[in-house]
Amino acid sequence: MLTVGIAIVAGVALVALLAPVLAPYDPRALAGPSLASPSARHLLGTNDAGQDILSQLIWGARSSTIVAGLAASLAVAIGAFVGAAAGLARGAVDVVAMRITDVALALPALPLMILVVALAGPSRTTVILVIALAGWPSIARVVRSQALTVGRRGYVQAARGFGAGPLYLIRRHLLPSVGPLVTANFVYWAATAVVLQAGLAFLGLSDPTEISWGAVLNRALEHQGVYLTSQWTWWVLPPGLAITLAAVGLAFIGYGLEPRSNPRWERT
Amino acid sequence: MGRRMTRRTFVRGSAATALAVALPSCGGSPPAPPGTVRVAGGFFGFPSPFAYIAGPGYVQMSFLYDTLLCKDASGRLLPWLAQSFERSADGLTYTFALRERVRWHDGRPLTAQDVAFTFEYFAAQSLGPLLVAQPFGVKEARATAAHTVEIELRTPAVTFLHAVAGAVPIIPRHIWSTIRDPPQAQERAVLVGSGPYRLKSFSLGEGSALLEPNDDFFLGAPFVRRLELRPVDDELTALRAGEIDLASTPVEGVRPQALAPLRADDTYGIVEETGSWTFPLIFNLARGGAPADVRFRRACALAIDRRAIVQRLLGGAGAPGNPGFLPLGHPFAAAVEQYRFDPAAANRLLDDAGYRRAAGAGDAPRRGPDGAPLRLQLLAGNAPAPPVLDLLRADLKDVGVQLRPQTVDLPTLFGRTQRGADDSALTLYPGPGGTAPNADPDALRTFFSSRIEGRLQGAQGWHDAEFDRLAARQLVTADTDARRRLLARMQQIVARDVPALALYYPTVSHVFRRRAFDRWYVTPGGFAGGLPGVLNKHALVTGTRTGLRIRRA
Repeated sequence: MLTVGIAIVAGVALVALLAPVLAPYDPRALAGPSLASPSARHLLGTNDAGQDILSQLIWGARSSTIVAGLAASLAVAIGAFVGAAAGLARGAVDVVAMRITDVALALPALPLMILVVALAGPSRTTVILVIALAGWPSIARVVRSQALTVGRRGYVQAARGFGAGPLYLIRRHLLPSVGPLVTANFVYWAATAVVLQAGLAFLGLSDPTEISWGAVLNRALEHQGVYLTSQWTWWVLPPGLAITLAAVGLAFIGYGLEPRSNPRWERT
Repeated sequence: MGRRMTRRTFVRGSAATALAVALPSCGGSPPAPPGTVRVAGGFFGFPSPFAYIAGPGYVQMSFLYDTLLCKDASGRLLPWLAQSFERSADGLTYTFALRERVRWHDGRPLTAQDVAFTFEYFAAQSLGPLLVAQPFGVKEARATAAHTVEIELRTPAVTFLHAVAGAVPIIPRHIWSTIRDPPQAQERAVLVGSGPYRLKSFSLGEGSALLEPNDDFFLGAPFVRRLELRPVDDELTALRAGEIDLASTPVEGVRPQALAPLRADDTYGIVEETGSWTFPLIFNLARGGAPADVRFRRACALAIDRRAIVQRLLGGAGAPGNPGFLPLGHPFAAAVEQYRFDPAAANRLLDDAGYRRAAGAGDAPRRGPDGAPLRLQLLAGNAPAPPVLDLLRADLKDVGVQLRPQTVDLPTLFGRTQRGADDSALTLYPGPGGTAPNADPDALRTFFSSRIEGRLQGAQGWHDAEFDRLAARQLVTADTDARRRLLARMQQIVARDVPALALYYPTVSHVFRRRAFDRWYVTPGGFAGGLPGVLNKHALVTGTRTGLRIRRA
């Protein structure tokens, strides 16, 4: 499963990386007549403005990869930092950090994201930030509990006794034990980010100049009568499948990593 | 019920159901007696004359309230609450003779006192631009007899009859005289009108309502007996699913293919209108920079292929924008510079204006005299905009202008447009306020005159003394030919300076189920002061397209 997941994600990443080479047209150029059916010139036809849909999907992979990678990294970085600080420092730091986390966890993610994007204006940076904002609290919770467990272990207490500072403890003892956990969360949030970015684009809350899978899908679904002809098979289906494929690939990696990240996996 | 459903019973059952559904619509049976007509609802405020929201809200309110005059499909104003009127020689005073024996829904008589009170009461309020019918320009209204009312204007206004007498809802004095904050009065008890329908039930949040006929209506019992407003997501889908009897295509327009199945089906009829909406690209001159330079604006007009927008996005179902703002074919449209698609001419203009293309810079934008790249920041609505933005970007890129669009929701769009916060804006006109481009040409004044304050959208930072003077004059010029000349000059000035460029006028189609009601029409010049669409209540009340006689089923 892990191998399949890695293969899919690597494939998407490769397409994203090679977008300028692979895409037959500039995704924004009016490359042909509008709503052309698939042909040798346009393998997936063109959209209502006459832009090549295949080129948009290829470039969309780049946008999705960047958003997924950055949003998940940011969520993991904030979550891991807050969780580790709370778990290791305990006391007032723990109480304050966890109450903030609780509040953040209690906020419904999608309405919050819609509000922030609507207020801050749709841009790729905002989308990355709001996805990270939604993701960090659950990661902080998981990392904190792991940090609490690690902090009580004899060898960590011994290290403390010898005068090890918090940074040393995080680097030498906490990170290795939460590493797999953090990786699994990264994968989970990367998959979520792909879907959320598509969702925000679908709601019209994305940068209009951004070419992402969600934007392509949204544009197709907003087109009146897209289901009246076979248009949907080359305009709606491919971006939907691309989003599904990327999410499934990341989910496979997550499942594949679970035995390593979950300390109780063997016993259950 | 205990029988297990096999594939065979399922197929038989489905076939029987399909047959049962199909049979009544077969053959040439006469249309069913008119009963309920179901139209798309939606939340557009509380249906009182002070709390509805924009045009669609006005329409919901108009079924309960009446106006002095009302238009029919001929575009002429018919006597409605007023049976006749006279205009004084100076054009300042109109005397209306009201119908006698008109009653409010609570049975009390409607008198000249109510009419005078209506104008007095409206004048005492401070109401926002989303209330599309307000008695602007009225100085005083006096009840001179039980059924005679005199309305005096501050200045003569040729728009008075259709924009005020044909649009402002008359309200009962006995209900409103004690209400201090009318927009906040949102109880069912205040909804006492004289209109052809009464509200039987409604759900404000859902945007649904059921209207029953007012059989004491002054013209007689309304032809359409029940009117249902149903909130639906996609009107065309809801029409085909049998949920509503009238569906209007989105104002951004649709391709003919989207309507082809409905056109081919005899169950449905279609009426169309082109020119009741447009998408103007408004340059903000107040912020300086390239948009303040007329050569830049003209270059944009030459570089944007407005015909291609209609062809590519709408498959031809619409009309390309006219730089004179009024759609070509409007009775007052004048011959103006058309700025036909000519990228070479646009390039020359930009060269002359000092925006230079660096040799070998490829697709890089031009650079201005200060060395800054030539960029046009554009604010647009998120609903219809993206496909148009792609075309604009491609066209402008070809002449070295980099378009930087941002899309926002409509309230933000209109808020920011009002503040003049952006270099340019692509809006939907008339949107929630203003009159349709194909309605009275006074829209030129309300959109472009620098003397108008607080409008939701219009030219930004553009002043032309001659235009403002002509705009004020055409409003008081009763002679049609003289007014036409003034309006022609105004259009030439607008086309010369291009403070805003109408990109296209989409064709909006109204598809209806013939059996439910088949006399829908588009009112020439709009109804109730210039509203687009087919929901002029005259059609529903009379069951005809013209005149006041109620058709009997």
